[in-house]
Amino acid sequence: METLTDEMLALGSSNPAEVFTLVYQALSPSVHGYLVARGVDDPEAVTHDVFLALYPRLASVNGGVKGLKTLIFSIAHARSVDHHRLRARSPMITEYLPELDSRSTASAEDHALDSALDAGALELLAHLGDDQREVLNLRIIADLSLEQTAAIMDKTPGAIKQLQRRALGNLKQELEMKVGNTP
Amino acid sequence: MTRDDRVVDDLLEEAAIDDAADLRSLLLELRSLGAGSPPEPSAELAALMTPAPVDIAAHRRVRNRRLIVAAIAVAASVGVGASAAAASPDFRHTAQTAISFLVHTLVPGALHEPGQPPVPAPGSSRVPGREGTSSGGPQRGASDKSSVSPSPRTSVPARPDPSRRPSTVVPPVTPPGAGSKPTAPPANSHH
Repeated sequence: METLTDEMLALGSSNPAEVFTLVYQALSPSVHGYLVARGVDDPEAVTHDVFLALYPRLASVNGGVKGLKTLIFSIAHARSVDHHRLRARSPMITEYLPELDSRSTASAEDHALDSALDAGALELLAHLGDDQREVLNLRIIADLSLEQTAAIMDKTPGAIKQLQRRALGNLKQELEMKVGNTP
Repeated sequence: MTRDDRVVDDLLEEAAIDDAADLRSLLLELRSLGAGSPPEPSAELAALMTPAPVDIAAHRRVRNRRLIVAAIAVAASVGVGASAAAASPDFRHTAQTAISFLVHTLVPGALHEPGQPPVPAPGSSRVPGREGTSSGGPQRGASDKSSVSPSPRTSVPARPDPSRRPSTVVPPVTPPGAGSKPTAPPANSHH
């Protein structure tokens, strides 16, 4: 991933296509990963939507790369919230994939091979509350500061720090329980 | 230490969580979700990433539009300037003076300045504003004296009234044949 600098962004008014390409290459992977962690159905299409919404506002971004990242993940956060609200109101119609059917029961061999770490980070994160999970996504995947995360979630930095501490404590406890249950 | 390691370690330090190797590995796994390659851009995004080609016809249209706007702006500014000059009292006074001078030069006596009496004709013996004085006009009664200006009347009538000539003046007698001699001065009645 190419590192984006404030000087690159400053060229936006003279060459918007080039700067937009640089921004997309630098930040689209983390936006995509954030949307995957948020459980969006089609994270690639929503990533495209996020950058399409960013384009007309790119020339008016304040605060350099930091301000740009705050804006992009604000858009991504809003899109994921809209997605979950829409999904909550309408029935989900998807193609049937046996490997994604959660009603299946793991075999004895599966239980033997599974361990706490193999279960995956997303499965463990699913045990957290929405706000706790969102704080970890924004802090770790989006690489945002306490203040940026607070601005996106419309909370104070102190509240974000508290959510972060609880989220990590709960995750640690989940891991210890998994390890303890592993035969 | 990579950027990923630093991000996770900072987070654990902020939360005051020590001795959490498993948790650290889990957070690094979460971090790796955002470390892939960029998704293939859609056609709409790809169009935005392509520099726009130069459209010569559009450039011409813009240039023509700018010329029209510039012409309108110049005409408007000239009109505004002329209106401002016409509204100025100094400008109006100067213009009036110049026009009056031209008219006086071309047509003498055709115009006169407002508020000033008309210029008397050359050779006229009447003095403006002196009509109806006691020297030339009929005798006024006592009732008219109140309306008469108390200022001394020093004017001289252009034509002396024959009726006011002194009756004692003897007309000169010219002896026959002495037409070439000068006439003798009239005798004084007091002598």
